[in-house]
Amino acid sequence: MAAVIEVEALRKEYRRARGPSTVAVDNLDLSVPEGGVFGFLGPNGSGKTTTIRCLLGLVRPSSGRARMLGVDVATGLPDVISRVGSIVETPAMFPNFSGRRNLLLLGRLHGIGATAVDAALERVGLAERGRDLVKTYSLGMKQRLGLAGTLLKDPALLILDEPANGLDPAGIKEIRGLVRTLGAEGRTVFVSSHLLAEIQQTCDRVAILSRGRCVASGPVGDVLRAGRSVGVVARVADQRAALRVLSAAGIAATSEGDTLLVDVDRTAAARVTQLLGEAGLWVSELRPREVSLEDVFLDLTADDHG
Amino acid sequence: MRDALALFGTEVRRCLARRLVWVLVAIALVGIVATSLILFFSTADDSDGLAERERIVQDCARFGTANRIDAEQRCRAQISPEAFDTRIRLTELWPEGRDEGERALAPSMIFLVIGALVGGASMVGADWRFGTMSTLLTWEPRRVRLATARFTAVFLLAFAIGLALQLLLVGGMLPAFFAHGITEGADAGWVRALAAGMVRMQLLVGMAALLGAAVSMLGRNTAAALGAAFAYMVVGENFVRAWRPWLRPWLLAENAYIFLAGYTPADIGIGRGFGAAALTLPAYSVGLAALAVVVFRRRDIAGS
Repeated sequence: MAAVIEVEALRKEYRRARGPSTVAVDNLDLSVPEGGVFGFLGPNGSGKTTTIRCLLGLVRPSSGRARMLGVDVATGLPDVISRVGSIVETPAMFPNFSGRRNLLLLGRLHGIGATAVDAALERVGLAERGRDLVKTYSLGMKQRLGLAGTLLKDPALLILDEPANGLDPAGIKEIRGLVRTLGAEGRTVFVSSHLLAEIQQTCDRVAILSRGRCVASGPVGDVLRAGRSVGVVARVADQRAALRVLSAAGIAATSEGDTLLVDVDRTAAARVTQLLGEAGLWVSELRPREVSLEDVFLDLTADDHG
Repeated sequence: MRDALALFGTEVRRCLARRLVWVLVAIALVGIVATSLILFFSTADDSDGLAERERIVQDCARFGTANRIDAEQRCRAQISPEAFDTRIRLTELWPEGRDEGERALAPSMIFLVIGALVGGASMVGADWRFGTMSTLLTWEPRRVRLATARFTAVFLLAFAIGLALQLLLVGGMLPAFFAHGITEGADAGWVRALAAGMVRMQLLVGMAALLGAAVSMLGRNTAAALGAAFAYMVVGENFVRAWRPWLRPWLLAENAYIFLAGYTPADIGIGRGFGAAALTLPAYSVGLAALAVVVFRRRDIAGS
């Protein structure tokens, strides 16, 4: 599968007049394959937006290389920009122009006319408010307008920085559907977000950033499996007794609400039932512990949270 | 080339779509209408000059030695009516010859220059203020091309709008000249001199817009650009004039004055020719714009 985004040893250091310089991106390696939705995760300040700005030529990397759609960003970005739609942070538009006028002004740069603008507004559900001034839009509407702007170019690659930011649950669901549709159309959608549940539901692959470095990358399932030990959840009537039995057998377990979280591989679950059964403690429920992307994310970025 | 023209066209549209441009134009139009009406009605009565002449003639005749009628005729012949003719002259808008008095049209340029400076700074500053520079660069990442197109659009629009407004001003004042003034001397030569003067004025207006845009690009802020420009003109140049007078030939105001006149006016007091002024002004404005382009190309767009 060809990579539409390739980042090699990318580093961005912001020098300051006073005090030490800040390393926003630290030797980042990243490869985003063609097609589907790619989630780009990381805590605040982990370097997501700086990486996106490097990809879009807004920020000059201190070292390393970034390639997009087969060209080196430093030299060939103008050749591929017509195939890249992007939102960086909150979409910025002129507040005293209508949404439609903002898009028309941008579209004309690539010979895109009013018909395409109206179609893009329709697609994000802004057709009725397109002629209103942007300053009257809610944050969610501004996000939709930004998305409409990215769709104007009929892009092969979409780079969306927190596209669900400021949206209500209905809006988030709508954007999720749109992002999935765009990915299913054969486009590559590179989306950064802190809404981990959204990423888990929307993305085919993810990369997790911590302190400017990529700490995990791959299909969502692989990343989940590579996360913290999975374990099993067991429900017994006498938790204290069960903990004693398991501890005596050298199995780590903790009480989590009215269940026990037993730190064993799911293939060893039979051993847990056997030990507890032999002690006269009957297991009423035993299931593998579901690990969410949030768990993996928090594990991998624990350093960032102090 | 087609891409560059498309970008230039978009930049022109972008500038014209700004409300500030039309607010400034509307203010200018109000000023033009007011000036035209005031000029028309204030020049309707030219009896003051005639009455003054008659009073002086009568005084002259009263103290004469010959008989009263002869004295009055002699005095009337001696006291030229032209000296007391207060009617406005069309040629005073832009006197054709050197040092032939004030150019009545020139003060209008000051307002146009201020408007162009504000407009030019805003054309660039607004993109920084609203964070739209990032958005724009995700559509056109060639920064040098983008900035050049923006600066060109700002210069040409300021020139065109300034010229249109000044033509309207002249057109608005013509009824007063034709109805109450003197149009004698307004021949083809004078029209050519006026046209050349207006073109020079609009070049200054365009350069002011370019300077505003360039400073705004450097400072990434409209207000900072305007503050810097006005501080330079009011404080900086006056300081140099007072403390380093030998640098006067290099000041913006002095060069603009010479450029506007089309020659070195006698009252300027520095030995600088029109050619030098005509080279100095574009060197300053284009030089600053080029510096702004270089800085814009190199600096990160990290925040907006």
